[in-house]
Amino acid sequence: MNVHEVSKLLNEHENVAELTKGEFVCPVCEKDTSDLLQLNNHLDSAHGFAEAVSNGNKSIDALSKKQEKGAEVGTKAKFDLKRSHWAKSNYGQSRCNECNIKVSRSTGVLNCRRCGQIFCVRHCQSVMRLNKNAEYDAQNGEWCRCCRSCFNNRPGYNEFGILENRTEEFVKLRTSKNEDKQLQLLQLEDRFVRLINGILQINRNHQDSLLASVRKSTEIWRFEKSVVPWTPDHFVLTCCICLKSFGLTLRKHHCRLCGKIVCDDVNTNCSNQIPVLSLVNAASDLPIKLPASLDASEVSTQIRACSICTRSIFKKRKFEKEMSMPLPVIFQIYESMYSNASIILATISGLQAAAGGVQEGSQTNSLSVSDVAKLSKTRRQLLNTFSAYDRLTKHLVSSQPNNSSEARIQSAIISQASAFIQRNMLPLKHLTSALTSGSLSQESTPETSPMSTALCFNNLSIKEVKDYRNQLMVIKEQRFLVEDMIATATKQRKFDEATTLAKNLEELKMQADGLAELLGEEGFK
Amino acid sequence: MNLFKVADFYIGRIANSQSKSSRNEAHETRIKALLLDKHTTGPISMCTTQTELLEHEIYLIDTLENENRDVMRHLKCLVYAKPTDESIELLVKELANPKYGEYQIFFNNTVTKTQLERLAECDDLELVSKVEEVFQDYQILNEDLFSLDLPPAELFSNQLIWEPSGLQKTSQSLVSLLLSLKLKPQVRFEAGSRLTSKLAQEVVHIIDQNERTLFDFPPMDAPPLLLILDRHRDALTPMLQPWTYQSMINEYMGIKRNVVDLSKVPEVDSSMEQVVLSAKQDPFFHDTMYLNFGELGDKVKQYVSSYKNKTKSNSQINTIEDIKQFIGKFPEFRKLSGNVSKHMAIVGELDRQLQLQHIWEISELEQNISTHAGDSQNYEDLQKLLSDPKVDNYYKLKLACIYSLKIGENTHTAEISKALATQLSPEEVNFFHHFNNIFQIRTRQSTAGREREDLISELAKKFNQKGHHKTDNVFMQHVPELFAFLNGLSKNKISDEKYPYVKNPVSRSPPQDVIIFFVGGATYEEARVLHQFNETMVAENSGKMRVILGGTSMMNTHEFMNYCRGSGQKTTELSDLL
Repeated sequence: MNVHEVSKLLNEHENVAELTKGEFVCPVCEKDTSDLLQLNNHLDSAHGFAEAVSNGNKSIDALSKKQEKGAEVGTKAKFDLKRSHWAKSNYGQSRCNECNIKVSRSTGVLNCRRCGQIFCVRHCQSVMRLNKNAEYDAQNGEWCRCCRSCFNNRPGYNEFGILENRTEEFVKLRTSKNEDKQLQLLQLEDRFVRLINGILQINRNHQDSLLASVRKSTEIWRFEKSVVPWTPDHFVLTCCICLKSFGLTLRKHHCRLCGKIVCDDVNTNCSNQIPVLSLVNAASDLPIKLPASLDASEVSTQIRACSICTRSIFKKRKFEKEMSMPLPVIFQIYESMYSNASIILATISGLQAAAGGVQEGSQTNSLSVSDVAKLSKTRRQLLNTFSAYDRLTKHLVSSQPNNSSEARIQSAIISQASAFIQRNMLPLKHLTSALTSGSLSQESTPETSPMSTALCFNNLSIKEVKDYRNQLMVIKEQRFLVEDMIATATKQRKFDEATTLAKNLEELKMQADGLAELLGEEGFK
Repeated sequence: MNLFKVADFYIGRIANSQSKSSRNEAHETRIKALLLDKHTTGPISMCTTQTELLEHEIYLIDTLENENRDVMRHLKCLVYAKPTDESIELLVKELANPKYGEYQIFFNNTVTKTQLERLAECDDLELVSKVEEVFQDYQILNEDLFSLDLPPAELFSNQLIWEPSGLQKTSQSLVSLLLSLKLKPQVRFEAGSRLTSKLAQEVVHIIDQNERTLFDFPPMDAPPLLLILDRHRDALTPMLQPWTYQSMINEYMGIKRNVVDLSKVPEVDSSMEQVVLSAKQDPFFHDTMYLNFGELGDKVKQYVSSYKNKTKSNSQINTIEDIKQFIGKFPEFRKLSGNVSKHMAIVGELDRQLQLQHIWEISELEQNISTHAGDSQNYEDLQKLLSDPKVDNYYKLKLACIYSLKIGENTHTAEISKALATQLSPEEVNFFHHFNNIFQIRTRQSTAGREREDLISELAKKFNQKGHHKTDNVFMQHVPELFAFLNGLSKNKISDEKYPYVKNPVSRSPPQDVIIFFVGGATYEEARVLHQFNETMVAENSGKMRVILGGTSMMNTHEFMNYCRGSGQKTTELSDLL
C-alpha cells in the first residue's frame, strides 16, 4: 500500500466519521462538510446558490466570506438567479415555513429559491433545477435549493397511471373487417328472401292441383338451384365444415343458401332441415311475402341450410331479440333499490346538517317548534324510504334466480344491501336521539300550547305519543338487527359475541315492553 | 411512488368506466360483471376487496377461462386481462358467442396490432365499446414492493441464461411498471452478470421503441433510475432464517397472493384455513409487518388487551344509550375480533415452528457465521448442530452451505461434507459441493478485478453499518447488502464500473426516483430494509430519494435453495458463446 492509498483511506475514514456525526452533505455534489455554516458556504460558492440572508450577512465570518468571493467570480457570472421574490428574514423573528420555529443562527435560514419563502436549513434541503426567473426548468436550469413543497409539486414528480385508449384503433379495424362481412350478409339475406318467397309461390301455385306433390318437389328443386349455384357433387369429398369424408353413412347435402356441400351429422350439426315458417318468424324484418293463410303443406315445408349460413343470418337477430327482453326480476328490484338508496343518502346528508343545528338549538334553547316538526317530517320520510328499501331487500331474498350467475348476483346484492342498512341506519339512530333530546327539551318547558293538553290519548300529549312511538320503532328495528347478529354469530360459532348480544336483546325487549305499556292503545298493533 | 395508489387509480378506472353507447334505456341495468383471466386475478385480488368492487356495482366476478358461464344479456361486462395469446383466444371465443350485452376490454399491458386485429375480426355484433390499456402487469405486495410472480424455473435455462419467453415476460412486466409510474429511467445493471445486462438491454430497447408514444413524459431534472441486480450478488440474505413478521410468515407458511394457508396448522378453526394478509386493508399488519419477533409479541399482546377492553365495555350495557353505541360499533368490533384471532393463529404457528425446528439455535449460529466469519467457535457450534439428530436435514445442509459461502474453501470443507454424508442422502451432499462450485466460481470471478477497491469499500461499509445500525439482537446481526448499497446510492457513490449504464447517461445528478429489481427474486428482509430506508429518507432528508423494490418473485430460504439446485449445471463457457 503506498502513501497515496493510505491517505485516501484516511480521508474515507474521516468522511465516514463525519457522516455519522452530523450528515452535512451537500445535496448537489455530495461533498461532505463539517458543519452547517460550511455547507452553506459551500453551496453558495460552488453551486452558485446566492448567500443566505441579506441581514444575516454579519454573521458569516470574514474568512469564509473571502473564500466565497473568490469562488463567486466563476459561477455567478454565468448564473444570476432572480431574487426579488425572496421574503425578508430576521434571526429570532422570522419563522420557518415548514416547522414554524423561529429561525436562529443554530437553525440557519434560507429562502426557497423557487417560492422565496423562509425556511430553516433542515427544511430547505431539496434541490431542483431553476432558470433565471426562478421557474422550474428540468433541462437547462441550474441546481438550486428549494423547499419540500416546491420539490414535491414539480410537474411530473407525483404523477402515475398511464392509460392508453385503443378503442378508436379497434373500431377502425372492426369496421374495415365488418364491411366485407356486411356485404356478404346482405347477399345472403337477399338470397334467403328470394328462396323463401319462391318456395311459398310454388306451393301456392300447386295448391289446387292433384299431382302437386311430385311436380312441386321437382320444381322447388330446380328453383333452389337457380337461386344459388350448387357445388357439383363429384368435386367434394369431405364436408366443408367438419371436414369428415362422405361415404355410405354420411351423405352429401347442399346448403340452399350458399350451395356448398355439407354433411347432416346430428353430432356436428353442420346442416339442418329447418321449417320455413320458423325461419320467417325469426327474421320478421326481411321483406317476405307471407300469404294470409297457411295450409298444412306450407307449414311443413323445410329447407336445408348449413350452420354457417344460419348463424350469420340469425345471430344478430337472436341477440337483439334477447336484448329487448325485459330485465330479470332481480335486476328490476335492484334498480328500484338503487333509487331508494340514493334518496336515503341524499336525505341523510341533509338531515345530518340539520341535526347539528338541532343539537346546538337544544343547548341555546332557541329552536322553534316548526323546525322540529319539519325535521321530524323528513325523518319520517326517511324511515319510510328505509322500510321501502327493506321491503325490496326481502322481496329480493324471496325471488327465485333463473341460473347460478343470477343467484350469485342476488346474494352479492343482499350482502351489499345489509351493509348499506347497517352503515346508514346507525348514524340515523344517533340523529334520532339528537332529535328526541331536542324535542324533549322543548317539552320540559312548561306546557304552553293548549293544543297539546287539549288532545290527550292515554294521559299523553300527541307529541309524547309521537316520541314514544318513534322510540319504540327505533328499539324494534334494533331488536331486529341484534337478532340477526345473534344468528350470524352463532352460525360462526362466536359464542362470546352471541351471549353479549343476547343480553342486549333482553334489555331491548324490556325497553320495548315498557314503551308499549306507556303507549297502551296508541302503540302499534 | 406509492404502488397502492397506482393500483387504486387503475381499479377505479376499470370499475367506473362509462359506456357511451347505451342501447335502449329501458332494459339497461346498472349491474356490471367483471371477467378476469388467470394473470389478472392475482393482482386485482391483492389490491381490492369484493366489498370495494360491490360499491362499484360489480356484482358478478368470473374468469375468462370458465366456459360454463350463464348467458346474461342485460349485463355490461368489464374484461380485465393480460394480453397473452391464450387470453386473446379466450376473448375471441367469448365475442363470437357473447354471453353479455356489452364489453369493455382492459388490458394490463400493451396489446399488439395483430392481437387487436384478431379481436376486431370476431366482434361482428359490435359489442366492444372500449379497448383500453392500463399498465399493471405486476403484483403489488407492499406500497414499495412488487413482484412479477414468475418462478425462476420458468425464466432461465441453467439459471445463467434467459429463456426467450422468460426474458420477454420479465421485460414487458417491468416496462408496465415504469409506465404505471410514468418513469422513463436510465437503466443500470450489474457488471459481470449476463442475466441483468440482457434484461437491461431489452428494457432499454422497448423504451426506445415507444419513446414517441408511451414514454412521452416531460423530462425530469433528475432522471429516474432503474437498477437491475442479480440475486447471486447477495446469496447470504435469502439463506438466513428471517426474523421479521412478513418474512417469517413467508418462510414458515408462505404468502401467495396475500393469502396465507393455515390449513396445515393443528387445531386451527375451519374459518381460518386461508387468511388474507394485506398491508393495505389490515392496519395491524401494516403496523407490524416489519417488526421483529420480539417486538411483534408485544404488539400482539397490546392488540389482544385492547380487544379485551372493548369486549368488557361491550358487556357493560345498561342503558339504551349503551346499546345504541354498541350497535354502532358492532361491525367494527366483529372485524376486530376476526383480525385478532387471525393474527393470534399466525403468531402461534410461527412460535410452534420455531420451537419445532429448533430455529433459535440454528439462526444464532447462522448469524454468527455470517457476521463474525473469523470466529473459531463457529466451527465447533456447526459440528455440534450437524451431529444433532433433532435438527432437520434441510437446516444442516443450509448451515453447511452458509459456512462454506462465508469462509470459502478450506480444511473444514472435507470434514463438513463427511459429517453431512453420515446423515444426508448422497444427492444432498452432492448439492453441497455443487453449491460451493457455483459461488466459489463467482467470488473468484468477481474478486479478480476489484480486489484493491474492495478493501477500501469494505472498510467504509463497516463504518457505515456501525454508525447506522446498532443491533443488540443476536438474530438480526446480518444486514442485507442492499442496505449499504442504498446508502451508497443516496450519496451517488455507486461506481460506473460495477454498475454500468446501458446507454450513456444524460445526467449524473443523484437520482430521486429509483427502482431496484432483483433478477432471480427478492426477499421480504430486503423489502423491510428498503422500507426503513424510505422512511428515514422522508424523515431526515425531506424525501430526497424514493425507492421501490421488485423481483421476479419473492423468495424464502427453501425457494432459494431450490433455485441454486438448478443453477449452473453446465459450464459457464457454454453461455459465453451465446
